[in-house]
Amino acid sequence: MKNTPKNQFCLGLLPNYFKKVGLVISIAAIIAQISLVYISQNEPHSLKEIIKTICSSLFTVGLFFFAFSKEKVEDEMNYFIRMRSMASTLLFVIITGILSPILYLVFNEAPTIRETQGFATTVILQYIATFYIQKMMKK
Amino acid sequence: MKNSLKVERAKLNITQQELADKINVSRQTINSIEADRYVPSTILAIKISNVFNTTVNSIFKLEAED
Repeated sequence: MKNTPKNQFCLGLLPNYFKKVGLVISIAAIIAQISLVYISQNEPHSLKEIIKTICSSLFTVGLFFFAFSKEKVEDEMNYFIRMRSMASTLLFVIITGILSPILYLVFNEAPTIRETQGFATTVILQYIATFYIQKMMKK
Repeated sequence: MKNSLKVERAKLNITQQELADKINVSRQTINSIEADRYVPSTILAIKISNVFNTTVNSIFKLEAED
């Protein structure tokens, strides 16, 4: 079709092998974080915190790679499911954005870096869950 | 929207996977179209009708609520 825009169903996703890369990074980050508890009994607290922060960032990066890489066959139905997942994730972000200041007012605490990181991870996890649940429902 | 994709596929004796491979989509997409869980784009509908050597209208039919 001559007038069809070539990028009609293109979201600029990462290649499929990034799914495996993402999974490896996430699992390695989880293992590193768990082993940190047992290994570094004698390490200084600040170093532990740095490693912990790096591990949780790597976990989020891994999840990001997994979520935003192409499926084996990336077709228009996948594009459609992705759009729906993104819409529901956006709704989740908006609701959280509305509710969190109220919660922080109630508990009188400002969000920490760890909480912000946790929020990013939760958003990506929410997207992955919605995407694969909807995909399973379409089977 | 109703479709007779399953019937057309049976006439040509091809599997969902074979049809999917011909039009570069996943088998799940063909399954969803057959089960009326997904309405294909115009491009995909034309590709499907080309495989069966027929028109889009003869495979995909509008219903009253469409």
